[in-house]
Amino acid sequence: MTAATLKREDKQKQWKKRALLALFLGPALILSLSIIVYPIINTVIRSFTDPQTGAFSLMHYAYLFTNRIAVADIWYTLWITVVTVVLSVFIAYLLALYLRFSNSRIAKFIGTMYLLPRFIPGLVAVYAMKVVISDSGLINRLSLLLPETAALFNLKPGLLYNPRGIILMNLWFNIPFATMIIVAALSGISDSIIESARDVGAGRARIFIRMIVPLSIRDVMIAMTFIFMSNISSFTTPYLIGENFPQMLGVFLRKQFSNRAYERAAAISVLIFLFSSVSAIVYIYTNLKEKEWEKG
Amino acid sequence: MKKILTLMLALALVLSLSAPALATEKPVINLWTTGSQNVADLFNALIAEYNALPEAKTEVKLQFLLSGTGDETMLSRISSAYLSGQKDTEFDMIAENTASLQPFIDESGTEDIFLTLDFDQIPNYKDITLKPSMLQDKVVPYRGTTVVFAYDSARVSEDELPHTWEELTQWIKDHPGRFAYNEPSTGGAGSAFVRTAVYRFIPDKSSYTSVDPIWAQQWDEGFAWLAEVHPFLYQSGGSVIYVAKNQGTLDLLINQEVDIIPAWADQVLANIAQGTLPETTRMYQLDDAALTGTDVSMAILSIGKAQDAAYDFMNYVISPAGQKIALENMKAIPVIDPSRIDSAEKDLVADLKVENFAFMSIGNLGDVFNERWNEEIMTLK
Repeated sequence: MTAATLKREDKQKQWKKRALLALFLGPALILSLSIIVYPIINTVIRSFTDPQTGAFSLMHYAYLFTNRIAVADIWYTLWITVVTVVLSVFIAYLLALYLRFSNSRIAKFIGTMYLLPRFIPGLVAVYAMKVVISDSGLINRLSLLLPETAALFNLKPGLLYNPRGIILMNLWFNIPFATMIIVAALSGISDSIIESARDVGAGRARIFIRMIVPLSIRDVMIAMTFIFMSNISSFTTPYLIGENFPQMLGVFLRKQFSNRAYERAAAISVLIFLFSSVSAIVYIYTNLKEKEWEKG
Repeated sequence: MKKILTLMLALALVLSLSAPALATEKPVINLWTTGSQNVADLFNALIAEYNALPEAKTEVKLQFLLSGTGDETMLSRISSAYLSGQKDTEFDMIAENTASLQPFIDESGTEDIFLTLDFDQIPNYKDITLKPSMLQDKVVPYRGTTVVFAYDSARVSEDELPHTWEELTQWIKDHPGRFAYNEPSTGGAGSAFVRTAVYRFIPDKSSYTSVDPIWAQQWDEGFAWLAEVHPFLYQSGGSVIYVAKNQGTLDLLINQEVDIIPAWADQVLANIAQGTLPETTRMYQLDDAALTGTDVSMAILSIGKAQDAAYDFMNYVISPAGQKIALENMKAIPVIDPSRIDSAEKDLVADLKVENFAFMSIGNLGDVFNERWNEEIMTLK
């Protein structure tokens, strides 16, 4: 076999490899170009268009940042999303710590049950929540069984149609998800490391602050970015249990759409997209950063 | 043996391929409509019955767009197909609230988007008691529907029931939190309520059917009234709430959180039939300005491919057999004399005379109206 034929075979192999690569990546690439990239470009262009003349215009962004309803909706959305992120990660972290470091039966039981909400369709969950917390719902009906003199008689939770209800529902959806990610991170910390730290005299608080937190912070950040992204654009929950004003951006967008203000709706989409991309950048940055542990 | 088997398989394949071809000899027409699930159920029932008739001249297919899931695009799609000069499209027939056909004319710039009907081909048309509120030579009404006030007579007694708008205002103030209407842009019941509340102040009743923006200048009194009753409406968590969708206020009535609501007559009847609303539920109108209703019509699009075939289906829908399905399936108000319908349920709709309907059609002015409601009423605290 000469060197030339070898080279040719090499080339052939390389070509085959490339063809295979194209075959595998092609469908995904075409799909993402046609149903993600193209619509994004289209939406961005549309958001800068005057619906009457078709000319370039900043009117929709001017509306978003000056109209009092739009401004209130933007702040409201950011506020609900941030509160949801902070609360769900905080609660999930405590739950994950308990699941990781407790061997009790209750911990094992919770460990198998906590993912259940992830298997319940969103719409069903929202209606189920409404049945429980509405002013004529389960809580209210149970309270009616109390004697009329009781302080809790005819209790109206007042959780529907306001931010408390939305946040409660968001926690229901997001705590299991965040717990899942954080538990995975905590499971990566082996018992032997913690024991050896304890051997050299580190207390519980010290182990937690100096070891457990640094080792899991990256996954906490990832959980936070995911929760942020899914909640900034949420629709079903605020549509069904939110109030009339202010509204979350997803509901606000739908309202523009049904009034056939498509260009304004496009501008809101772009805004939501921008908020999500900030979160996406944080995600990519944390992912690229080396694990503290591996720096060694 | 193997050869015979192959041959038989091949034969079976050919037969199975040609069978549907034989069955679809009749021209297929597409019927486009939007609405809540009850509209889809109604047409599925009507179409199933019609397609099974041996004398049916066409095979109807339902193209249904659920409210709130992109149904707004139907208008854009049909009018842009018309404007780009397309012919023989899949847009054969449409069934909508007659007033909702106005935007199609606005978008396309001409009434020619709908075919001028040849009523000789619709023999049952002569029996129709509900004449269309507009576009008389273009549409065939197939059911009526109206917004009414609904209440439970077991909880609101006859003598304290308000009968004029003034009495209603007083009733709302005397019973804080016991009246609710849904957010107007999310359902027709709330929309009919706020529009009637505002337009009753305009002396010239031609405003009810005008798209002229000039009428917007006379809305102030009505909006002031909406703001006046705002603090006394349904509350949750300490603030006044306009729930989403027609079903939202019905749910409040069902759960006894409120006592009187504006609601669609057919939805109230359907809820009574299901047992979710009690038998004691009653419907009525105020004497000085009735909440608006509408005729719901079928029209043939001039860009469809099977225009003549559509007449036969239209004729079926307004026949006593078709109206029976509409009455029993949807509790729809018939467009023919109910005594001609062979159904035990015709008494349900006996009081809702289509002749007394108040019609309103303000076209694109409706968007301006909703926008003003959003700005002035929704933001009240």
